Amino acid sequence: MRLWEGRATARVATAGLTLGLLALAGLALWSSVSAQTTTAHVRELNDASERWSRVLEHIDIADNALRDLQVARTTQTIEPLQNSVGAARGELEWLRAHGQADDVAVATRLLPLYDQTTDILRKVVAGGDPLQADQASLAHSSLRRQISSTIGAKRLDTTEYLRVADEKNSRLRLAQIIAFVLDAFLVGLFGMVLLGARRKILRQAAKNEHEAHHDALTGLANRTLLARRMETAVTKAHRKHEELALLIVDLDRFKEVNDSLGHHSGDLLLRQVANRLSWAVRDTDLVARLGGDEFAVLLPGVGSAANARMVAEKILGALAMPVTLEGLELEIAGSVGVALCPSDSMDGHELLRHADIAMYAAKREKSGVAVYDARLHERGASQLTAVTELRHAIDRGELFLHYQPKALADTGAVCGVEALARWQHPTRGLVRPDEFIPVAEENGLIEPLTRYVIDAALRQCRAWRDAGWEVPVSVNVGAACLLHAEFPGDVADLIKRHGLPARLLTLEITESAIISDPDRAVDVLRGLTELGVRLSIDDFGTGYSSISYLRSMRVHEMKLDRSFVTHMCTDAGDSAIVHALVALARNFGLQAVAEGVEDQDTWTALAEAGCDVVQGYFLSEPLPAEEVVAWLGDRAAAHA
Amino acid sequence: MRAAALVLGLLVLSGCGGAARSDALPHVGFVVKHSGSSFAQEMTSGFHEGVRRIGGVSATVTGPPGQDGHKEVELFADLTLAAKDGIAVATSEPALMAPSIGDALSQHIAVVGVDMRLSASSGVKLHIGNDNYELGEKLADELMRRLPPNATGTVVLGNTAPGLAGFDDRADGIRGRFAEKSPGVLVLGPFDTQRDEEANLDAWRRLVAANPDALAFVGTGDCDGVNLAAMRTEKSARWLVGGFGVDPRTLQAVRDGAMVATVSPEHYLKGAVAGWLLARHARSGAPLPEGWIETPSLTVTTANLGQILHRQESEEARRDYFQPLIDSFVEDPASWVRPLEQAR
Repeated sequence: MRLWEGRATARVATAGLTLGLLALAGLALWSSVSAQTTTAHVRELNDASERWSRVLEHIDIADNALRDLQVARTTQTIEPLQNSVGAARGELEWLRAHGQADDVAVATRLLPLYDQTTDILRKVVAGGDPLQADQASLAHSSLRRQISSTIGAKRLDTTEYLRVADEKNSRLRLAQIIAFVLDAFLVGLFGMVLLGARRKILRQAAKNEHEAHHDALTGLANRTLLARRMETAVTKAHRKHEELALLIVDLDRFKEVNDSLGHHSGDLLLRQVANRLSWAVRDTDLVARLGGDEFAVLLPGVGSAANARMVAEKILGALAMPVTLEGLELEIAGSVGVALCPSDSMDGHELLRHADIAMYAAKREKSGVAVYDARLHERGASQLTAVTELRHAIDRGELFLHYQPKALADTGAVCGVEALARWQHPTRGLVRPDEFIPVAEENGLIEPLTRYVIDAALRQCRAWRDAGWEVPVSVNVGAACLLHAEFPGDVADLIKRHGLPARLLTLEITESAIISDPDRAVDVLRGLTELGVRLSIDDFGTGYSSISYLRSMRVHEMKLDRSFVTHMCTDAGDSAIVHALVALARNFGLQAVAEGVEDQDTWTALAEAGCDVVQGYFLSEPLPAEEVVAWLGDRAAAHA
Repeated sequence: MRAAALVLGLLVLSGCGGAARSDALPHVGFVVKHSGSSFAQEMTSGFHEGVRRIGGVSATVTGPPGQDGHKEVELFADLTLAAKDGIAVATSEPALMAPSIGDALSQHIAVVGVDMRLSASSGVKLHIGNDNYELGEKLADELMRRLPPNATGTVVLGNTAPGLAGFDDRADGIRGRFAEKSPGVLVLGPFDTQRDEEANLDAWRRLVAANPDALAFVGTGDCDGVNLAAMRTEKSARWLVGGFGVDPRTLQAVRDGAMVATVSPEHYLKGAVAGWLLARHARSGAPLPEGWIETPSLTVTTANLGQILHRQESEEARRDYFQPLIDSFVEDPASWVRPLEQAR
């Protein structure tokens, strides 16, 4: 920041200029008052001088008349003398009464002599004594010399006064010049401050403009700038009949990176992705971040769909290179959707939607790149709709649970139920879990969905308990939940809220959920175990089937996948697997639970194999909560 | 004609009394009016004595031989070239002298007014002189002592330099004292009796003729008393005469009884004070006092005439006479200073 852009400089300039202008105005006022005073005083001096001059003139006239009379005493010489006798007295009286101090003093001194002279002149006019005329002449001389001296002194006083006034005015002028120069400097400084402030505002405006159109994290264009450029580019494409492509790039499994390595690493990854996208395209292309891990690339004048696909492939190639984040090497991948203008749409917003749909198609088909066509539209649109609706369904409580009973294999006694989520869609009717659970997993809704199911299952468990039925419930837990350290705390809050012992809740987890980040999953599972919650490994045998996890994880039961159980009586291989898994469970002290039991033979075979618990349509299909109690009652009556 | 100007300058080297002028010494000057007059000589002697008392300072005294205001100005201007350390001025034309004094002051040459007041516009801050009003009063007192109580009649007053402040003050003092003490006595004048001795005598002749029954005739200048005394003797008149100064003819008139008294302005003392102050200023840079240093006057009558005649006989006698007064001033100059505005 430059000196004249500083707030202190602005304050100094403002205060200085204010004081400077006040000083200048004060000096101007002072100068004006001083000039007025000088003028008034000089006028007084001149006025007095004029009166003294008139007195002198009267005396001269009288003396001339006296001389004329001394030469020849006639009527013509007597009358002028007679007329001039005492003529100056009025002026002398005025000077004595209204003059300045020195005028008063001189007039006071001269008046007696003047009066004596007047008397002498009257005697001269009356008689013919020449000696009186001589005496009058000497008196006139005395008066004249004193008055001349006074007039001379007045003139000197005036000169001196003007000199002093001029000196004072010179000082005032100097002060005014200094104040003017200082003010000019301050005005200059103030101008610099204003210009500095203007530059600062323009810089801030440019910064605001940039921030308003760019993503703060990556520095790429944001959705607003993309929309603006796209509008221009679409218009240009239409005018020049050039093909324009819009690419939507979405990273695969970015959420996992964010969840497992933290947001900081996620941000670093996004920056690297932004750089790679920028490097992969031309300078004339525009790369924008739409939000999260979603990017868009505008390719004006791309020429053809093939060229757009080539650019998309280039982008995927750039993304495929390993990324090193704080010492960890990651491999990332993405999905690219391509939409073309004018072939797909002439509208920017629609083009964006089309590219989005293509991107989802690429993601769904794991094809890397997908170019929009009309057939994708319907599927893509339904996918987008499903995400929104599922979110609303969780928020509005449109999901409900069915409960599939589990029974001990040897006695057939009911030992619990598995809670299974159902979605009663307002228009589509009942939506199956295999339709909306993947949508939830792919769109970050699995955690709120899991909490919703646990809460509802515990509420129902509490209701049954209050009705006299202690029915343990099992709930499937989404893989993402095991990566969140807060999850055990959330479960504890729910158990506490419903006032149930933790042992009545079994959480079913999949091996894949543990494999993605074993260390963090182990911490979360340990937290759940410490709560007293039972843990079950779901679908064991279909995935990694890691025996080391069975040993290290403090789980309570192993759930055999229905794909082995259903056909174990007809397929020797499945039978062998079931027997091996049951043996494995028993050896690790785990309760073996077989699901997919659909007939008596399978049940019997499982019981003979040593399986502890069975679950399946043979026992019961999943039941609405309100039917479970009746079913339990019937079952109890049948076994009684 | 500058060379023709009477230079009373005596180059005084304090302590040795030599006449050799040294440029290395601080130099002061004195411009006096009418250098041929006794009052000018008195002031000149006093000035040298004052300079001598400080020592180490040279001095030049100059002035026109007669009443010549323009010459005074010219000589003053010349003196500013030599006496850079200070100049005393006893002028007969204060207004005429004012611009030149202003020029000297602007050259940072110290200027002191002596005897007659300088105009305020000259910018001079120190005046050394008598209380001229009081001088007039003293002379009026001497005249009144010789008039009968409750006397009535006329006293004719002359002024050799009407318009010159000190002389006007003397005339005012005389008029004021008579008005105060002898209201029955009318003081006529002051009439212009001229500075030139011949003109002065002519003026007095006319005034005496016009006022044959006057009780007394008195003038403000030195020549007034001398001429009046001469006329009184000539006419064997009975009117009283009073005068100013210690011109030998004036003292003779007092001794002869033609003049009842003369009031001496003690010009020697004024010159001595001016010389001492300027020399001290030139020598040590001591600042000159600002204001009016009032020097005393002396009424000379037959009672003290002998002493004054003796004093006036020689330079040494004058020096001895004024020694105590000068010592008194030198001891405490500040006590002699009054506000300049009070000078009269």
